[in-house]
Amino acid sequence: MKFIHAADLHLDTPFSSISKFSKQLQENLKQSTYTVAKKVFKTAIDQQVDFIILAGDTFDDTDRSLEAQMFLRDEFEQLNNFGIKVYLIYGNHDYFRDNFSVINFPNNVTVFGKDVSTAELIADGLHVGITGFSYYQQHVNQNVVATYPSHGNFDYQIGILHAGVMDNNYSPFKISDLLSKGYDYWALGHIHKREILHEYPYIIYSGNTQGRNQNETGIKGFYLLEVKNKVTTAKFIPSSVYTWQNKSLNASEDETIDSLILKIKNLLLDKNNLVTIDINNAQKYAADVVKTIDRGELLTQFKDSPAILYKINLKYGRKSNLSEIDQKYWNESKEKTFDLNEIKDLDSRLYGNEVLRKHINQPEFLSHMEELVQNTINKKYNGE
Amino acid sequence: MKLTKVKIYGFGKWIDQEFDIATDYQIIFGPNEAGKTTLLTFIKSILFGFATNRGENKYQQYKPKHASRYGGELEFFDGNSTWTVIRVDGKSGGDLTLFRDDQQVPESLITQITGGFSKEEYENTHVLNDESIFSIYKMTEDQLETEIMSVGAVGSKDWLAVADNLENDSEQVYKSRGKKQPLVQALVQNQKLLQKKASFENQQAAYNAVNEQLDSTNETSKENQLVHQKAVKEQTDLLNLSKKWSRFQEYQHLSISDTNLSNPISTQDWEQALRLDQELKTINNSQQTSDLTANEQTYLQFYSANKFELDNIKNHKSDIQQIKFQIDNLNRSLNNNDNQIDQLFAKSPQLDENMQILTTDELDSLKSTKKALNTPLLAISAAALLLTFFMSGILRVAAGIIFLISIISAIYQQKSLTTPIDSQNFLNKKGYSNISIETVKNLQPSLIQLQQLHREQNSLEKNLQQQEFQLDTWENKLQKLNLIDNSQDPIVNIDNYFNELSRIQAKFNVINSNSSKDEQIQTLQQTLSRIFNKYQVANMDTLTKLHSDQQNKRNLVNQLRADKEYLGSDFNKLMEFKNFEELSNRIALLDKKVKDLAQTNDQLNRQLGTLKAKKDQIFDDKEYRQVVDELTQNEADLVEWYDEWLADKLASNWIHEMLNLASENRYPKMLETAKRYFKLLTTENYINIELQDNKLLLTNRNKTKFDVHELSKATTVQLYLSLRLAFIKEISDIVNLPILIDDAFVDFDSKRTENIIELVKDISKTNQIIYVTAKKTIEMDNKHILDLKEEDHA
Repeated sequence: MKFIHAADLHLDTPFSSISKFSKQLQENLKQSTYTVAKKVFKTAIDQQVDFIILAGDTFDDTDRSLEAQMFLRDEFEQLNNFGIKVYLIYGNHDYFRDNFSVINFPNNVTVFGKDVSTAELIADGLHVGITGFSYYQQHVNQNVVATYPSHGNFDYQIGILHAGVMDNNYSPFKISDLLSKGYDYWALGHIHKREILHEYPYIIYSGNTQGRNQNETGIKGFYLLEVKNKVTTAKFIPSSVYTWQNKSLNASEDETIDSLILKIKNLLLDKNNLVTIDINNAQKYAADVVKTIDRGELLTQFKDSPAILYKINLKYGRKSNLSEIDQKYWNESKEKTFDLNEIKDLDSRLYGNEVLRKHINQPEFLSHMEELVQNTINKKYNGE
Repeated sequence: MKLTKVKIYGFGKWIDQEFDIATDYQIIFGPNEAGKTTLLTFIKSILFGFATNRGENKYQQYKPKHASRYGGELEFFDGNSTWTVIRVDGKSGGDLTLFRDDQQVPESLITQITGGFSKEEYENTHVLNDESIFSIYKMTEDQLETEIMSVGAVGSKDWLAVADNLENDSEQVYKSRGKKQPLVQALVQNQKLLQKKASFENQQAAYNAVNEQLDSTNETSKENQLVHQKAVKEQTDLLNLSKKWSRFQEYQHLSISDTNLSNPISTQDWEQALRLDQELKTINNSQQTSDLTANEQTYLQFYSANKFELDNIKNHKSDIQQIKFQIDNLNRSLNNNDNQIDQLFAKSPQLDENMQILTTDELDSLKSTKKALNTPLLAISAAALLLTFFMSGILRVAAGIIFLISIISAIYQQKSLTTPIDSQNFLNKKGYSNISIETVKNLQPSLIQLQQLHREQNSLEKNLQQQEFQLDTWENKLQKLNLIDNSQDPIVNIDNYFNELSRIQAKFNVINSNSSKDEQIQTLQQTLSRIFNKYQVANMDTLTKLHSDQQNKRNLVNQLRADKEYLGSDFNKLMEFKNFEELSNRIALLDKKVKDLAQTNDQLNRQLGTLKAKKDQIFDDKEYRQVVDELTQNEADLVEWYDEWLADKLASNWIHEMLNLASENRYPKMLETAKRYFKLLTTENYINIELQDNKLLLTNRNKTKFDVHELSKATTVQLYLSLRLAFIKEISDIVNLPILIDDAFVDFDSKRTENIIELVKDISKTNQIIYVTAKKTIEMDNKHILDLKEEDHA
């Protein structure tokens, strides 16, 4: 028996800061989530799998998903022609609302409902049970895994789950919760970085199929699972058409714009990669070099490179081991400076904005700010 | 760490020089331009690196003009070991080599000497020159207060400037009541975009709604079309009925009359009676007509010669009559048909006989037709052409270019419109020229009706031709037999001929009879009477009248039969109407109904068109995607600007927090030392410094307390110096570098300079001091003086 586990297709994902790219590239980026989805379905047909699991967030946004729905219907119909079934749940991005699914999927598709349920099928002579549920609201705070039944009377049982480990907003679970069900495979969605949480049995986050921003680096894809003599083997299949990359450079005092362009060129060698470059110790650069970078003038210099330069970040260090004398006072005053509640209270208008509120409440916000503030101080103190 | 030796390879005017430095305090004396300041710069440069050749710094480089080697050595003693710091020309600040007791050690160990200080920090704490003193004089009271309060941290003055700068930067990004700042604008834009996004209908719901509307409208449209067709048919039927009304009326009128034939006169009896009567008249007139005239003989001879044909004509007389009747009927039907065609043309003025009915494919192709000419584009090109005549220079060229572009694109567009032109072609071929497509579509039902009418017309005409041909044949026969008098109805001709024949035959019978005249009369009268009796009439006249009555009745029956045939199944329908007015009213009512239904039909078709366009529009996501893309970018911008704003803000906060914390911790101990220095510098004029509520309070020897800004400028500078020096002492356990004083007190009077020297001596117990001056005073110990003379350097 063969099946595919994919998640977080995020069809129709918009990309930011791409307006400086060529129209063609912008269009390709916008289409990339579809291109990748086609790859997933083509692999299913080429590999003659028995079924496909889509573990949530197939749509990036359900407010306006007719195109995506029609696309999926056509693809699913094609899969139906090859006798391939589809098991789909909705996640936090495409949680079921306003009766958004107006295009009827063909009968090889099973969409799980609000409550945990189990679908059955016979594949390769095996009696398979597939258990899962769909999000009907953006946040699922209760421990839904507790309502998954224990291994039933099946030759092979799979759990589909869109959730974060101990994440109270997204049906929190612990790995031990999943193991206690005795299933043969857990197909997880929601976390975009792929990860094998457990082997024997496999509990896998397949990650998303296409990186959506500079933080989602590396090749993205899905898993092809094969079950032979009750043994499951998992194979990662890459699918991303564009890969986000993070590279770094070390600044030196004698750098010129020309020499820097040459160095950056050497970092842009991988085709269809979107590269963010961190330049460390930027304080060593002469003022004109920094100005050219700050104005974004470099970004347009690499049209012929195989990879695409997305962004340059200047990271400032200190010129020397400055003021060890006051270091203890820096350290002691840090806690008071980076107080999340005080930051929230700084300006009610800013905290009132939903985007900023979400940003501020992200777990990594303070450490991110600390790095930024350090960079700012270094940049300023080095005598701008 | 004490500086014990300075060895210069080449630095400014100094070449290959070596000086020993006293470990407590070293006074370096020399006139202006003796190289005192260069010596101090040399010490800083060897410790922290040569100045780079960028900006203002390049004047601090002191690259020697006449020596091959740049740099030199400093020797320090930390109580146990001797450190040698060697710096020569090299990349970024020069190449550093470090020795501890002649053992080379990693250059990073330089921090053992510098305490991790940067050149700037060293200059801000340990270096005092006239510049730093003068800047104190120039400060406002607030600046001074801040400066004094921030002495407790290294480089606090610079830090405060950085904090100010950051605060300023943050306000460039966002101000809570600002309007132009980028973060403010991003927030406004965010609200706008969210509103715009919310204004889009839910796509799926809209899709469902439009689909439902389309279905129901389609249903209504179909129903309406059926009703309309039915009404049109009813209308046509009623119009036909109205044309038959006159015949119907005639029929009804005739049908009242008595058509009953109780005792019909047989043809044989009638002809016999006629003959008998004729013979009787002939006998009664026999004196005058004893013989047949030549004419009468010819008549008889002609009859016997053509007996067969003439009898045949006589026997078919009723057939001929029937044919004539048919011809009349057909002509009437044709007339009716013509009327209907006329009516059709009256209803649709654009209708033309040349038009042909369009096929379904052709009708479908009409739907995709678009308008043909791009008038606005042509207008632009015309305007541009005009401008080329009136403009001059670049504008003229620009207008010319616009003209070319617009005319070319208009031609291009025209070319791309070949499909509509094709459909225009087939429309022309099918007889529709200069008619809107909507009209073409609307004409189709009328065209179908017209075709139907033409078909009927054809069959009627064919039938008429046949009948007329038959009549012709008969007429030809009559002609041949000379029976016809063109002005007369053939039937009348036939009747006339046979009446004359029977008269002549009767005359011939009388002449040729053997019996007597009376006998003959009697016999004839008897026979005649028998016939009269049979039909219960008195004489020939009444019989003739009866016969003609009967004949009329027969004609009437024929007429009724023909009417009935003509009215056909419409008869029963006509029966439903009491009078013509009722029928007319009914027609008028139907006309209105048909018109209304056609209007509804048009309206529904328009609705369907709108709905289909709307459905297409639902699929067209361009505008929505645009908003989503803008929103995605806006959200990224928001976060980026916010991060920048907050980083500036927090950096500034952090600096202030750090400085406050440093001051709070250091001030109590610092004040103890500063108090002593201040007392010394003011010649015991001030005896105490206290810290109260983050403010300094000064006490003079009369126990009067002063705020900082109540002091004179000179005293303030003395206070500042006391605090600076106290701070150096306070941190000396971490950083113990020589204090460099470069003619800082040139404007001090001799008493004050004396106090300074005392202070130097005091401080030198913990911190080494190198004091450069051009002024010698008696308080200076000669052992501590290094006298620089012109000849000391090249």
